[in-house]
Amino acid sequence: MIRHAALPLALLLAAASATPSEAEAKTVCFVTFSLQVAYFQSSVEGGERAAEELGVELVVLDPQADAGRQVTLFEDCIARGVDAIVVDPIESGSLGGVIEEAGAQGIPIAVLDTPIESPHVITNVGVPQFEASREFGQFVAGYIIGAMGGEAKIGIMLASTEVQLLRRDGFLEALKAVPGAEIVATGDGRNILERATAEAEDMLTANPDIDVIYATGDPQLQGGLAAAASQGLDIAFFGWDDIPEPFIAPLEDGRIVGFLKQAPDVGGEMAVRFLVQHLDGEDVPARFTYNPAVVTRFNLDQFR
Amino acid sequence: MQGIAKRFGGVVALRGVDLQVGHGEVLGLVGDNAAGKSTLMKILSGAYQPDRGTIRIDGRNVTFAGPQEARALGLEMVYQDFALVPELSVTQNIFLGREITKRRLGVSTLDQREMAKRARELFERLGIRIPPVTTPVRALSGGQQQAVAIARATGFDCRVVIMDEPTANLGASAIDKVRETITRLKAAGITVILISHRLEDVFAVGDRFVVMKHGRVVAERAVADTHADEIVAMIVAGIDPRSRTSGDQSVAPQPGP
Amino acid sequence: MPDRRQIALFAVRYGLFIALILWIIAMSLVSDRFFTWLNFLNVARQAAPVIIIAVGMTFVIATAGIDLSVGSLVALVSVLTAGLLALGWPVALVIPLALLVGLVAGAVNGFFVQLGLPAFVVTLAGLTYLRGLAFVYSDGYATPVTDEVLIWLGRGRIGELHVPIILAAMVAVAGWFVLDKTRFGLHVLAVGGREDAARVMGIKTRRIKVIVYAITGALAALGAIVITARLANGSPNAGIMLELDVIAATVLGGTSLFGGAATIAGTVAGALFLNFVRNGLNLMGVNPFWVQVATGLILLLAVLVNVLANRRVEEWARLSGKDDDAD
Repeated sequence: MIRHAALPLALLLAAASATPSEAEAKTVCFVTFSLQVAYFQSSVEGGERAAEELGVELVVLDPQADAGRQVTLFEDCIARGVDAIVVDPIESGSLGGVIEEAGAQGIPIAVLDTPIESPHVITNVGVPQFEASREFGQFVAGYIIGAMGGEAKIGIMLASTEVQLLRRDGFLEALKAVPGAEIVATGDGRNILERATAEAEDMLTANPDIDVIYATGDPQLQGGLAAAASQGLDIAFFGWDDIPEPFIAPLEDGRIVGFLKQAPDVGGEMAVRFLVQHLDGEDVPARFTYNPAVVTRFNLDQFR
Repeated sequence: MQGIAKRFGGVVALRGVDLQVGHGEVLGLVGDNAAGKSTLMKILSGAYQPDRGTIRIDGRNVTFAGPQEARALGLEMVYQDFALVPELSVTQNIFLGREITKRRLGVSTLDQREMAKRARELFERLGIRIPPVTTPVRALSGGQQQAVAIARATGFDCRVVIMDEPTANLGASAIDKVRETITRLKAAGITVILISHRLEDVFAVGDRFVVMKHGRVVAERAVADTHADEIVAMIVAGIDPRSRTSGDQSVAPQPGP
Repeated sequence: MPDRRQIALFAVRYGLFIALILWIIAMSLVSDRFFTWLNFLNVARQAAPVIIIAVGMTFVIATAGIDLSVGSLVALVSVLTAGLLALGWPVALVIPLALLVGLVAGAVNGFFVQLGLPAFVVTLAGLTYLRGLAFVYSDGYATPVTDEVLIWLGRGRIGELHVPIILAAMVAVAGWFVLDKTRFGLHVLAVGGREDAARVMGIKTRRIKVIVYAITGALAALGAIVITARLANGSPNAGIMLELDVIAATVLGGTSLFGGAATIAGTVAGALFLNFVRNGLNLMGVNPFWVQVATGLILLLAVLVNVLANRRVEEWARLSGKDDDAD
């Protein structure tokens, strides 16, 4: 009875599966960070664009911001025997072991955003977070000096991921130049909109004299905006990442003063491209960065 | 037991109860629902502490802080709902709390085989046939579970066994088996105190009646010396017609053989 | 020729193992990547922390209790381990300390449960405050781990097998031995099966309850060490929803939520089965989110089959018992 059940079951599963035949089409695994965040959605779109153009099959896996799950999905990619892997590390230290294993299997790796140095990582694509946020911090410092007389009480909305902590650190570095700028509070939005909104509301209730908010990621920025609106406070916002719909209106009427726009789709696209080039035997740059733009309401039209 | 009194909060369950039982005697403890029979026996088996009064075994005063100590002195109880663990086997239930172990490589492990062997012997001695001792208790019928509960109580150097409504919920053939078991226990010199609302059982295998009502002993009778109507009347009325005064008179019985 | 009843009993008791074997066969036919040593090692390694903790959970559930706090305890131990190592404490001190923290946290749970509070609520509170403590200690940061000994615990090998797999196997064997062969194990089952019966037979039910929660706490700490080592990272976000994986594995394995019946082998098989399902579906290219749906449905089905089948078996047994009785 057991034997009879296994065969039709297997056939059924074979029919339902989507595995390509082990033919010429290359397969690339794209292990992102979390598709709940617009930034990474955009990064995946870039990768898919490149894959379609190059005739490569892209397998997108989403660990939902869980570092352990990211390692597991990475291992599954190796076991599947894909040709190359793109990964957007959640916690870069956690991937050391699996990167070695991929290397042992001869699978090249491209890393997005948070750089990882390893002989098996053929390229790191992304924006250097600390340096970029320091430059952005200088922009904010300029605004404080120019439009606020050199004095400001600043609240920071962040999430405790490696990337966003770097964004904070660069910003703090730049602000040392403005003695009148004081960081009064920090809120952890955990990259979840509801959480960020609640944290921001608490932060503003405890410190109603905040006049600048610096958000290191878009859920944090949105949460901050919502909190400020509900409490009727007039605050200058500075934020990071992409410009999804919700931010266009606030940018236009100046609630968001300046916004650091990365081009995550460029990152995703280039990562896939470089991997395919590498598989075809070409040389690829070990580091690829691009400069993020500071978007204000004055140059918004360029980026629509 | 002498002068035993117990109250639970505002409710006085027992008022000055005197009870004497001889070796190898089968005593039927009867009375209506609030008479205090269960409470008295729970004190005897160590589950409750009396507020007042003393307990003496073979002339020596004893106290127990819990059922374990009572058990150590040879007092055992067969509960109305058996108090068996349904998922565990017959053997495991019988030896629960006093398992036989063997040492292997410095670690103490259960000696399943030895316990199973002894369990089977136990049932043989009691003259009861049951499914394999490895069967989980929940797969046994009511009568079989009752047999396991009795085996558990009587298998370990027991001197007095208290049975709380042992024949409730049993069919005719199972009831016969229980009566037979009680007779065998008596023959082995074990004292049996039988709490029962089924007087016919006490008449069948018992030596003596003790009637209780409202937390007091109402009367005592030798089984041969009375009949069902009289017992029923005493249970209902709470009076011993043969004594000159009413209230708690207890007649000391003959010492046992 | 075994009769129908015995076949049914066999199917109920070993159903999970049969399903596991069937699944492995089916997946091997579908994907040639599945039945490889590399893949099997991956799955075993991924299942290892769950198995370690689920052995403890088996004991807790055997007492008709539950422990929802294990995932949060993992987070706390993870950040403590990484944090202390980063301060320079020697690993030979940090690891026993971590296990001790787990033991104590578990014992706290056990203390409140033996007072009579419902285990669900007590450990739900634990789930909340333990993770809170993890965040307080770490300030929300993840701390990298560079200590080689610790990393070896998560990524090293002994022969062909990874260390986490060996640890999980050792814990499972020890758990099986205690549950099946010792007085303590038997008493645990008695407490869960019928607590008042255990009590009248002199078993110290309160002490047993504290002990099983303490054991689970210590095993959660061990699981945390393995996870932290594997990720080379101590994070307050570790182990989120891990308690569900652990409980699912235990229940799927056949341990009854009502207490009294438990199996370590079943728990191990349960954890492996759930991971093989996830792994097989991933290799086939099925959307990973469907995996979550599949896991939930499997759990539901397994518990349904178990309960229905058990009831049938009990009826059969009791009816045939009556026959024996009537002569």
